[in-house]
Amino acid sequence: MPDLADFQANFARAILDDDSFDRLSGQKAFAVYRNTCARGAVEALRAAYPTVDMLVGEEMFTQVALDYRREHPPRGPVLSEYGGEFATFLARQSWTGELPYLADVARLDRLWLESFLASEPAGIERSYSRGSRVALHPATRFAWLAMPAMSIWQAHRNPHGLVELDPVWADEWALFTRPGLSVRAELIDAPYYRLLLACVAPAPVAEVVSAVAAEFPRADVSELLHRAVASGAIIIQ
Amino acid sequence: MNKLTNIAVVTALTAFAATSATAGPAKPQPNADKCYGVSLAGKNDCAAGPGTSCAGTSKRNYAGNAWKYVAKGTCTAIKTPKGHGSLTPKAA
Repeated sequence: MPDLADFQANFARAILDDDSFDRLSGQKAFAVYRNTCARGAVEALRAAYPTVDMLVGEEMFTQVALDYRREHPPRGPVLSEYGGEFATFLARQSWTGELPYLADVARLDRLWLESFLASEPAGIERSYSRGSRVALHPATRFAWLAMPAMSIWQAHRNPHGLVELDPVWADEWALFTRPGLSVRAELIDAPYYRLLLACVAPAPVAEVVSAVAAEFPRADVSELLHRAVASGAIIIQ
Repeated sequence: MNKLTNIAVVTALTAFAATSATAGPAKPQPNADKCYGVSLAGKNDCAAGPGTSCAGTSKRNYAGNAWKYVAKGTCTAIKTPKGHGSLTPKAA
């Protein structure tokens, strides 16, 4: 009689291996566990990547999710943390060549979820003083995309009448903020992206401003700063 | 840093100081519970909805098989430089 740890390790292995058939997994009732676990992983991934699900369709998503699970089985009990490598997994698949934006759309689904689940910052200053530092709000997520993935993503968040989408095939910059309790997604420009990048490590306002102004001399940096603070993307420390 | 940049920095800081006192993110609404991830994606129990039951008789078999990917979603509505999303089967 194997001890408990062995039994559990065997059980876990057999859950993931569809082809295993031994004294344990050969039992008829074992399929109940196997199927329930697979379903849990597939549906958790679907819930985390709703836009990818819409793009490829339910049936295909299920199969892609099963393939993903074989490579990246769940590592913990928190389902929202499952699927963190899905975007890079998609980018590696040969078939995504025909859907080149798919991996970036997956990335955006992930950023939305991270923004949604982030904790509130401890304290937010409301006023600026000399020597103030600015930092990203914990729920702020942003990305530079080499595809019009944000336009595609946004079109799916309001899919009514999505008959045809003909986006401009160029880079895009995306920002997710969480004013209050709901996530807001917006398309931003390169100078705004640069400003957010300058705030990844908390920095004095003057430093942030000069970093953006040096790279984008024609940008209205004060307007950008104001927008970033007003939207809650950055906070004053 | 050149002179133009210096001017831009000073202007930006002045404008920022003038506006930021009133600016700020919206306050979280009190008494609004946030839906955390576990319940958001919490579909792993045996009462997961139609098609499953505690007897384990899922209508859908989630076992992997030699399946070919066929995209049937909205990707067909999106124009790329190479044309529309494909509907052709692809080897997994």
